[in-house]
Amino acid sequence: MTLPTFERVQCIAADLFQVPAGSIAANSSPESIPTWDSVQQLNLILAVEQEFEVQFEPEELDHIRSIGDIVEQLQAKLASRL
Amino acid sequence: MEISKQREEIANLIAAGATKAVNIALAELWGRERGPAVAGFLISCYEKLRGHLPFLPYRLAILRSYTVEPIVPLLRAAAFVNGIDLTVHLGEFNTYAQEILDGNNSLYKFKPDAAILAVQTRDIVPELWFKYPDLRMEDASAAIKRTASEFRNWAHVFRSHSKAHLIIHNLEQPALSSQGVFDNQSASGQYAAIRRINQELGELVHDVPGTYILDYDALVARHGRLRWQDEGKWLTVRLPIAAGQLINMAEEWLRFLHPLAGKIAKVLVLDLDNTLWGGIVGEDGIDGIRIGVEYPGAAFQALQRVILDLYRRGILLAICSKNNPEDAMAVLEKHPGMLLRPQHFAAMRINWVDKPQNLHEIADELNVGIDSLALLDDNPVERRRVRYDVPEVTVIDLPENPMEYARTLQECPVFERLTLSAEDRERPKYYVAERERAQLEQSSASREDFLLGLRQQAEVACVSSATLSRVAQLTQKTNQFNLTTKRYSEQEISRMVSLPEYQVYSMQVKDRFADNGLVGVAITRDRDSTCEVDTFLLSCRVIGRSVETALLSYLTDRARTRGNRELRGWYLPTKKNAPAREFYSAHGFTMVEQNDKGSLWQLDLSNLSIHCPEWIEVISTDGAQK
Repeated sequence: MTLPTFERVQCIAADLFQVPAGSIAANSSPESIPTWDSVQQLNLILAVEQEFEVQFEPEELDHIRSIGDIVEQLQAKLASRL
Repeated sequence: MEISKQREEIANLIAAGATKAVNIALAELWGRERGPAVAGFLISCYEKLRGHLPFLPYRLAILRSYTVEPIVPLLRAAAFVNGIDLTVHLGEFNTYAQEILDGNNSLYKFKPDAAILAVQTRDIVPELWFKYPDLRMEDASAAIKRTASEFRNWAHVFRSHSKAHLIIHNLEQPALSSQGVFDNQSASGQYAAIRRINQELGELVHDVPGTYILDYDALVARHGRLRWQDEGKWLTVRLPIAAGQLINMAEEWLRFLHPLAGKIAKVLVLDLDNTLWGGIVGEDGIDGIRIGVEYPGAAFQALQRVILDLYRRGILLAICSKNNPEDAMAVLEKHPGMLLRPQHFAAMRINWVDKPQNLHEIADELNVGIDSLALLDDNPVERRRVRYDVPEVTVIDLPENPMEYARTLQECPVFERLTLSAEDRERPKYYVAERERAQLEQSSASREDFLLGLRQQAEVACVSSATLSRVAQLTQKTNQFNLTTKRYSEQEISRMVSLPEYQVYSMQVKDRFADNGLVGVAITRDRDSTCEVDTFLLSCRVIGRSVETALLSYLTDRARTRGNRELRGWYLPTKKNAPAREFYSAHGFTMVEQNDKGSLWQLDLSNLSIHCPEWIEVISTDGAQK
């Protein structure tokens, strides 16, 4: 599976929040998705960690408020791994 | 996009009502990818299939000292794939003790079938975890004692409020001891202290019925202590387990839930070529196949060793394979590398018939439901075929690499057991003896010849403390040859034994092939010179070998000796006990009463005896009459 990072995160979020993948955008957040609660936020982080085999630091987690934030943190991690 | 297309296809299948196809697609999806996102998708799909698939509902409470929320969807998805519809009640964070102790808590109102108590070492004995080097020996001992007695108390209180099974996590060791390598240089180290608590927890299982220990320490060690933990998540969201390990926790829980919910396989059905050995015997010949102590045959021997472990756990083995029977039997009988031999198999279907039909025949031959079968087969096409045609059968997905076969089978939750009686362990031998009996029957000229050739011995005795639980078990489980189908607990049987008018007999039957164990029970009650048969039953294992006549003959003689003039007994028909319908009439009883519940039969003891068939030797060990 070689989808771009954003699309992969989009699919994970769609599965977790039970919404169509197309409805998830970079600015999607707990405010715009009703099923995005604190437990699902944790599930989202864990799913992304597992999918990309990375681990977020506590400081990084503090800055995650939207799908775009996750993708940004993730891309930085993936870039530093190269 | 590949993923959303896949999801769309499954959604379309659900809309079209193609339940079987959806079920297979979801199981395959889970086989490829077991994570939180897929779990969410699976649960939403399975919830739509409720009522269309035979899910087993089960209620689980989880009491915990840490965050387990992300494990729950993984557990529910995995359970759904295995046919269990789990409802989960989560205790509040770190309030497990209050929840257990308060009989009015929502825990008990939830009415769980099972509860898990998951507490970490650092939460319950922080002094052992964080400051072991500061502790004096007596402080450490006190901490051990306090912790063990806390667990003991919780288990007892839980049992007083609930009948649910209780699964207790034992305590994990730190990845690195706070004393470094010095820890193991004396008997009073940190590791030794935690081990002592775990030993005490192990004893709880014997003291509180329905309590089981989950070896959390071994689970963490199995997957690697340093990989298991995620300090960052622990310190921020109180989740001590790393993202990639959560599925392992869920699957370990499932290994307990399967035997507790009764979602188990009783028969392991095996393919031969490239499953039990490497290569195809029809093409490579007996000398060309790979099975033995050396690589690559060693992988298959490792698998056979695991299969033997299951055999000793009481799981029946069967073969369902497309081969020439002569080729396959030659390997089974003669190949020096084989650990499994013909005598290990309760049923064999080595032919070119398709597997679904063979599986049905195996279930019929072994007298088990088709849902008691699990299939191990290297061929994905066969697996798919069976999944589709016989969805009740558990199909085990073997990985490509034979080196991973053994572990795959070991991880299979349908073979887990939490209790094991002597009867359970011996079960495979009974079935193998049954196959040998069938061969004798085929080669005998007549039914009488066959029964004579069996050389049966029936040993009748009064129930004793050693046989009490088996006798009660038989009254609860026997449906076919059971004249009155009265169910009794051990306590009720004990009470009858204490009353002079009651006699409780058990019968053990041996023949030349095997000891069948305790297979017959009769309970009689004397009143006004009439002996009434309260219970008369025979395990289906020995139906059709006239041992029931031996037992009846015996209790007739005893009833007469005690001064009774008549023997009478009810036949109460049920949906299942037709095999016992003709019992009284065939033995010369006359019907004296009939109502909507059944018929009452009577035998005049003064002028009629029941003769024990000549092919059964009866041994009485009841000693002096009560």
